[in-house]
Amino acid sequence: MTKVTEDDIKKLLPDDAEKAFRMIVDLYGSKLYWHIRRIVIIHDDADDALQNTFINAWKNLGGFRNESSLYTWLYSISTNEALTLIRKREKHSGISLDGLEDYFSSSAEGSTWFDGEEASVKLQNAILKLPEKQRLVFNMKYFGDISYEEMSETLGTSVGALKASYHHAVKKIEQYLTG
Amino acid sequence: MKINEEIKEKNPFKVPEGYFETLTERTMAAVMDSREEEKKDEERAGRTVRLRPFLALAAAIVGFAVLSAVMVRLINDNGNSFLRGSGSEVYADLFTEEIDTYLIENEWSMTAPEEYQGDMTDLPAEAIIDFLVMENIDVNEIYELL
Repeated sequence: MTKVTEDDIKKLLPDDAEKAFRMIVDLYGSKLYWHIRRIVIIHDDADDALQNTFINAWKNLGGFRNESSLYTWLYSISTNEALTLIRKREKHSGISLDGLEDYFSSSAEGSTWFDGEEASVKLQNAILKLPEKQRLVFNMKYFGDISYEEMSETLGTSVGALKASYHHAVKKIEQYLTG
Repeated sequence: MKINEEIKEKNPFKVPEGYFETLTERTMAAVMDSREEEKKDEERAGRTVRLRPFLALAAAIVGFAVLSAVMVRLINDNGNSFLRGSGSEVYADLFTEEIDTYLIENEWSMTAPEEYQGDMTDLPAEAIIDFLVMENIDVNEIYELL
């Protein structure tokens, strides 16, 4: 069975938007989920943000320019949804990312959705300590393997600034893991 | 300690069982639901546009009544001898009677949208709406008149 590509989807979009959109969800659903999850941490929040991402994408499908990358476009939407969610969460329930380190180690819910060897747990806690922009850049580069150019398009920041941000993030994480 | 590829491979996050297997179905259901909601919102917006001439009519009546009340007050404040002793209530009643007579003569009434046959060309809606904004008239008061 041949794997569906972005080009296949773009060709189908004008004729059968619903079928094409289903293919988009199949192709990018899990990748976008993990990108969101690393930002918001909590599974239920990640699920909400992912659904909102696709709903927004569907509503704005008419405005999508065929010459740009579908994945980059979705990635942008999902990043905004994740950031909006954590700000709402901080405002309404007072849960900040700083507090999530304790959440993982002590709560029953935390142990249900967060599990792993000590090194990866420590890494996650180190990432949580980073300022928001650095955390985003680190997650996108380290886990998402997104190029600096694509990141620049998504975050609206220059490539140079992103490289510096990533470099600082790595240094801070290594210090945390060593300390 | 250096960050290496080995740590990268170890994902500390868990997901509910079967989450990704059902992701597409759940997402498409949510997207289609949102499409239905959007259609309903568009229908509601369409109904509001059809009600506009009647809102303008109600605004004209309210505006006329407000103007009358303001004029009565002004005349009273100026100590007009013609009105002294007559009472502002009588004068206000006269104005109300004027409005009723005008409405009856012009056969205007608050009918359902599909029955209204009146000609609204003399009453530009924008002018009425501008007047309402200037007079700080709450649109909910107009809705209550309908």
